[in-house]
Amino acid sequence: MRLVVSGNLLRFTSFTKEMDAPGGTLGEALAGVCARFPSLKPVLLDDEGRVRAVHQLFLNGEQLPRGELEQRVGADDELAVITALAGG
Amino acid sequence: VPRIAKFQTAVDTSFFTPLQLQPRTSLSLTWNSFARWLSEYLVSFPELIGKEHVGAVIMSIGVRYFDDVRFFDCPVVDVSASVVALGGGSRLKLVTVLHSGQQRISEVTLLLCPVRVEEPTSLAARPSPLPPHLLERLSPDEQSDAKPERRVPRLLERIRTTGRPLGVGKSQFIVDRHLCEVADQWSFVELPCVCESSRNALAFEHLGAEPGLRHALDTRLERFDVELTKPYFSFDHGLINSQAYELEGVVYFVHELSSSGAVSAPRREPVGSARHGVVIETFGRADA
Repeated sequence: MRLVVSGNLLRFTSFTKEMDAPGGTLGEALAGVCARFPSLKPVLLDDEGRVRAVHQLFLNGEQLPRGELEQRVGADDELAVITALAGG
Repeated sequence: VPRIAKFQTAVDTSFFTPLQLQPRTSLSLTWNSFARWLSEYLVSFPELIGKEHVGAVIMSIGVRYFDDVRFFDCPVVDVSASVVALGGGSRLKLVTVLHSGQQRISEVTLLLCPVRVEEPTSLAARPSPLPPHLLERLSPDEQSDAKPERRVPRLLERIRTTGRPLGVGKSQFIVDRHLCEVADQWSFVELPCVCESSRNALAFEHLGAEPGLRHALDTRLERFDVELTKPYFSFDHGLINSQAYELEGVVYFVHELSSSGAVSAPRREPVGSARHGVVIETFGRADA
């Protein structure tokens, strides 16, 4: 799977906008990316490993309901993570 | 009566164009007046975000200019700000008046949406009413159930149904960090600047066919009205579709703000809603 991040998340991925995110499910793919960029993990995931509600996930352009991390993904899929708002 | 935070600042040349107090300066002083109001009557801005985990995002902006005040008329700007919580703290209305002596320069109204900061490093947040322990520190006169006025949709419909189109244009910008605030989110203070770039490009392109567009270059901005639907973040690619209209001797510029791509990847199609907001600039006196 390809992962696309943007905006205020970029500083937690060393300003890498697109990256390979191997894994059979969305959860596995995100866990792999968080292992590669440890500072991303607490920003992206809550203490229970769920994607924080402040971030929206778009799989191949379609927004996912929260908590869909068991969904299976393939090499051609693309996940975009977008932060909706920030409190600055 | 809502409590007021006041301060005075000496002007420097960057505050002004040859015609008026820069709209950007009006917004910058307004946002600073909000910080001063918070410090005086609630908590400081850093404490609000860092300790209370509360922030605010801008939903609408209204800037209106009054007296013809220019740089040489104006050694200082006096700023007065008041805040009212609407709908149980689900919205905040900030009204800031900028004047110099007896001359009223401009009035800025911001509608803010309080947010709960969910994560302290990125400052990512979700809309959430002002917490009760902060809300109760506002006086009864600083709380209201009134519905906020939405000027932009009403004016936009009037312009588009009865105005005479003068030209269209398109421009792009990148949300580099000089356009951002502490959360790597774009700063609304910079909005007049990116809109002016699009307006100027449109005006110069169509000036030969539509001499009325010179108002965009040689007269002052009377009003600057904005409705925002979502923020940009750092390194996003913004797109502005601009249209100019003439209606009853007044020239309006409508700027539609969108993303030109999937946020940080401009060659892609936008993901999610690409719309960020609408801006209407008014040149010439209009009562509407």
